[in-house]
Amino acid sequence: MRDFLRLSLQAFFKSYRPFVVYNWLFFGAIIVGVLLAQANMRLLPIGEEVQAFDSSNVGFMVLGIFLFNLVLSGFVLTTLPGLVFFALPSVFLFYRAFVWGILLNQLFTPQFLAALPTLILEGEGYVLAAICGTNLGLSWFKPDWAYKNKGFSRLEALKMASRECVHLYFFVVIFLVVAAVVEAVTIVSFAG
Amino acid sequence: MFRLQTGQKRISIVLLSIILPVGLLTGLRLTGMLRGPSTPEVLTVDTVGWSMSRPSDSRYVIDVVNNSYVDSVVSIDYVVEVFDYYENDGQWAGFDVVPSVVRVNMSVDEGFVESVIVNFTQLDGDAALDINGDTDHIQAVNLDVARIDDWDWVFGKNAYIKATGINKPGNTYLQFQFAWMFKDPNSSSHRLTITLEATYVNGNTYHTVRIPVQLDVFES
Repeated sequence: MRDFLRLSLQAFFKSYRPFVVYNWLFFGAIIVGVLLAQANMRLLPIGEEVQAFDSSNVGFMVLGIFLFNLVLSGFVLTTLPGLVFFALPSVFLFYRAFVWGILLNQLFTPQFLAALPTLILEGEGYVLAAICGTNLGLSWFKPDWAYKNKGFSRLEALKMASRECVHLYFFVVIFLVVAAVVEAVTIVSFAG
Repeated sequence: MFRLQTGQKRISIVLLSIILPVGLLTGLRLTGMLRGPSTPEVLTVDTVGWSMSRPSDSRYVIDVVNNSYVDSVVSIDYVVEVFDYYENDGQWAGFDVVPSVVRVNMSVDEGFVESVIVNFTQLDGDAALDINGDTDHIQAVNLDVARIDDWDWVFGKNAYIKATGINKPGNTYLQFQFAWMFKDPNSSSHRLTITLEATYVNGNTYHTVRIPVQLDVFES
């Protein structure tokens, strides 16, 4: 376990440059979404979103949000497309951020502020998931781009990227668990 | 001279990449440079009531309850038509039933219809409401019926139907049927308030007109 934690931290710090760049682009895309939505605003009461989950059982809601975000939004829609083409995870990530910007713009200010912690935590999870996907795609597409001067074959690079992906997903899970708890609390407080 | 270690420097750069854009977004919103959605200006029209004594047998009623609103921008024609009174009706599990229809005709001169919501409230424990959600029985012109919630005959629960404008329409029409059911043996009075919430956009401002109609069925 201690080794896994150490390797996870190593993978995280190794990815800090793309993490910073993706963060800027991610939040930049949210701002672009907000600015574009300013031109055409429509009402969207938060109640419409709340009804997607049963707010009477917070535990189930947290679990549902977490599993949905981790499996579908994080892994299937963000990381896996990287295996097909390394640029796809960033495309999906920035598109999601853009849509979030549009949705965020439609919230009244108290709800806007309440949504920010969830947006940051969930966003960081998806940024890391996108970095995993990009690494996986680069590893077989151009092993030298993914691992400079290592002389890895495509298969070796892919294996290495997969291992790093598992370690990075440790942080994805942490971000998404905390995000699910914060989101459920936010939903319940606004629904109540 | 204080110098950041590599790890601290990296963490600082990561934190800055989150704090700066989020801070910018929050700052722009709080200073009003980014506008939020405007809260609708709400106007409530006086309630129009209708009542009948609860008969001991089935009969035709056919009464029209009209509560409309017109100003220089919007015209809303809101009609509840009460058809019949059925005593111990076999088609409705032996309940007493008042089948009725709601019609909402709305037009906006400068702007568009955002949504049409009809809320059914103040149902007591012996009364239930069933909105006929069958697409053959709902007429929605320039409207998308987004949600119908009538709680599947659960007694004492409120109900509503919500329709949203398609492509910013200037004119809309909504018609649907509902059944107001009583399970008590003619021993109680019942009240149902059917409130239309018509929201339209004029310029950059949302306006909601609330028009209530109150139906009373008194014990005989």
